[in-house]
Amino acid sequence: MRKPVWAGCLKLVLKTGKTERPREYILVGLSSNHAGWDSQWFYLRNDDGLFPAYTGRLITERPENWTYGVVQVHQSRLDPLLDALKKLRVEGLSAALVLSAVHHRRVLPLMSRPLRMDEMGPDVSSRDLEACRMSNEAPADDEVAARVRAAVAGDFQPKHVNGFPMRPDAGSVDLVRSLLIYGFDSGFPLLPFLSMSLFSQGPIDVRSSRPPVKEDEVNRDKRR
Amino acid sequence: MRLVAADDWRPSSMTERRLLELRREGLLRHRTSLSSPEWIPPSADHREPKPPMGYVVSFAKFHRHGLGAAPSRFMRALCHHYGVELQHFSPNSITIVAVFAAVCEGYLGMMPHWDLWLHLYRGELFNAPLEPPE
Repeated sequence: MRKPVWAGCLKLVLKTGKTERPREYILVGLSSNHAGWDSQWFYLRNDDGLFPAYTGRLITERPENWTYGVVQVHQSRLDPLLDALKKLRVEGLSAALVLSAVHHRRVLPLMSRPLRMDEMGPDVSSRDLEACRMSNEAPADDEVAARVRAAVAGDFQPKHVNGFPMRPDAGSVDLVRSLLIYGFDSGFPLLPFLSMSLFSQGPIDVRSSRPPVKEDEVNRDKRR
Repeated sequence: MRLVAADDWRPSSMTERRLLELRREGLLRHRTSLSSPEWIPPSADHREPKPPMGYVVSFAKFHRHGLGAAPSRFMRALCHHYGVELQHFSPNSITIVAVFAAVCEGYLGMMPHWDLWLHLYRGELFNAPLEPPE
C-alpha cells in the first residue's frame, strides 16, 4: 500500500521507448538526497496569476495526458534537434555542466527573462542583462559546485565549473561547424539542413514548438 | 494500487532569515513592496499552507534548482499541461525541467521546444511508501 503526497507527486522521467532516442539526450543523474525538502515551504507572490492558484489539491491518480508524446507524423521534425543533442552528449555535456554554466551566469532557467541565455552577449543592453541576472557578482566556483552537487548525482568539483560554456561565450560549441566537421551518422547534407533547422526555423514546425499556456486556449475560444 | 490517507503537511522550517539567505545567494528576487512582498515566511500558526490571496506555495529547493518568479512560459506550460500546482513538482522534476530549458536556450539557441519535451519526458505519479509500524 502507498499513500498520496501533498507535495512532490509529479515525477518527470525520461521515456525509454525505442522511438524516443532517450539515450541520445545528455546524462541527467539526479540527487537522491532531498531529505526534509517538503518542510522548506514558504509563500511566493504570484504576479499576474502566472502560476496556477494554490488550492491544496491532492492528486491520487495519474491523468492520462501525463504520458502524451508527439504524434508520429511530427516526430521526424525533431530529428535535427535529437542529432544536435546527441552531438552535445558526445562532446561531454552533462546536467552537472549545464547547471554549473547556469549558476555561473547567475540566471534561473525557469524564470521569465527578457533574453534567452544564448542572447546574453556583449552587444545587448546592460539593462536587459541586469534583468536576467539574479546578482551583481558571479558566485565563487566552490559555491557553484556545491549547488550542482545538491541537484545532481556525482562529485562535481569547482575546477569543472563552466567547463562547457553556453552560447555565446567563448569556447561554446558551434553546432553547425561541429556537425560540419564530424558529420551526422546518416550522412545527410549537414550545414544547410542543420542551420536551417536550428537557426532559421526551417523544417521544424515552429508553432508546435511553442509551449502552450492557458491564455492560448482562452484566446482561441475568443476567436471562435 | 490501494492508497491510504495522505500524511499531514510538515510544518515549515522557513523563516525570514532563511529566506534572506536565499535572496543573498541570488535565488530569490529583492523585496520591493512592504504591503505585498515578493516572498514571505509562513506564520508560526500555519501548520499547513494557507497562502494569502495572490501567493502560491514554493520550496527553497525549487529555487536552488532553477525556479524563479515570474515563471517562464515553459514553466507555465508544464503546470498547464500536467494540470498541477507548483507544490506538486518534486525537486528532481524542477532540476530536469531547468536543465532541459538551459540546454535549449544555452546550447541549441532556441526557446524550450515543447514537442521535444513531450518526446523525451513523461510524468509519473509519486506515492510515498508506508513506513513499517514501530
